[in-house]
Amino acid sequence: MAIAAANSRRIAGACGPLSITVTTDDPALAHIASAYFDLYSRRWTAMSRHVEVHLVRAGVAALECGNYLRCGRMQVDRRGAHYLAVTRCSFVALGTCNDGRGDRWIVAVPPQTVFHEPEIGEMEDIFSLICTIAWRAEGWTAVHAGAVMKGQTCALLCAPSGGGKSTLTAALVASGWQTLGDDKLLLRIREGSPFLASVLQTFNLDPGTSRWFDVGDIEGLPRYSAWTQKRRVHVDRIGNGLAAESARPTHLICLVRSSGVNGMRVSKLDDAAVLPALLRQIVIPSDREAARSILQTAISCARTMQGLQLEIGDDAYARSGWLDAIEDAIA
Amino acid sequence: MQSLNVRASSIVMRSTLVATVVEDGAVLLDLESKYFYALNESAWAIAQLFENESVSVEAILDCCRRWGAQAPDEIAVREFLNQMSACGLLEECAPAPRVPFIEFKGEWRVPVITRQREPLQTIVTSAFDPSVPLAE
Repeated sequence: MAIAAANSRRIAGACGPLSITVTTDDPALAHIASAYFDLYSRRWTAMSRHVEVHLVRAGVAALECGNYLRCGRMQVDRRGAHYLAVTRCSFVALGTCNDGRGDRWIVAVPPQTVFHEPEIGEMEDIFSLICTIAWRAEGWTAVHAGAVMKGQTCALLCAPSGGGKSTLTAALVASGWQTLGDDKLLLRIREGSPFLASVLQTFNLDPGTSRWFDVGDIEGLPRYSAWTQKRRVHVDRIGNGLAAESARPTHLICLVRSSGVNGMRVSKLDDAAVLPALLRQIVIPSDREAARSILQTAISCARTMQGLQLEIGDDAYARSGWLDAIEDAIA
Repeated sequence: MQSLNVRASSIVMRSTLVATVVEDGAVLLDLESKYFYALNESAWAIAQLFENESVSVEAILDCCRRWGAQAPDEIAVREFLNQMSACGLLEECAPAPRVPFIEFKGEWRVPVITRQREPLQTIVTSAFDPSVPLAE
């Protein structure tokens, strides 16, 4: 890790159990890092791992094969404690992840890079990688799902990107449910049973959802990422005080958009379908150690959850009684 | 995929597979294809025989008999091995000098392997998002 110059910028943040320090002397890189790590607004009381990230302008040639992870715009290799990520725009991230001393990353961005949406997206991909590797080292599995809770019930909301997780989460919060988040959660096994924790207190809502819930001037809010029109909306804006910190998941709900359904329709999911549904919300690297740990967590979790399928018709939220179908099925 | 001639072969599980034991068997994930498989208890006991080292099919059948398999079950065991082979989960190789000892305490049943209908994504949107990347 290079030592930061006297005029460098230092950004200190937290992502769940991680404390993160980003240093750079490049204003554009500092701005992107700051915007990304600001997303993680839920402050944990105990942070167990430190991650240092140094961002530099430098051209670095690197050959990668994607033996750890293959993303749409990034390939990642792993050799022991060392990681190498290369993006399409030739951003190169080198990381050393050591259980005893935390993680150290250096991210090199070619000097001529001008940041438009693809370039910002690739920086976000690198930051996501840095966080997920560190979370995993702390025993947490990152789950791309929403979670809502009421009483002793906590339901994981599963769907691919654009599948309606955020809208349903927001709709339930507007109806008095609590939430742990709408698309980024951390999962682990604690005292023999699955345990979910929140890292974000913002929704990523499509401006179109304002026709169903009062979220004020959603168009004027900051965009969630370079790749989407979705806006970052704080949970309190929809349901004040309904952001929850942790829960034991009891249900898994697979969301399916279905224009042939009037309103919403809930059906029971076969027990054997719960694990595949959960695994589809988790990135599993091609790395035996990481994959085994994720599988164990997912299997333990899937076995304790009841599975449901929720078909969501067009304009379902505009129909009265849509909530009853869900609450009746879960209660 | 071609079926292995298990009658004549010694086999070993491919190194791309990760196994996780569950109370009634195991789940195998192929890190290359991202398919995953559920094995019942008997199937997992058999698979452990060649999880790390090669073993001959005859040695596998001997173990199955010791675990309670009857003569007609031999066909089912061979079918199970053929199924694993057809899914690309096995490699043919020279037999290891000894057969590992696997204790099987469960009740012997016909070995069953079930492949998940759809594989998980091999290329994902990001380290956090397992969705299919958007077309550009």
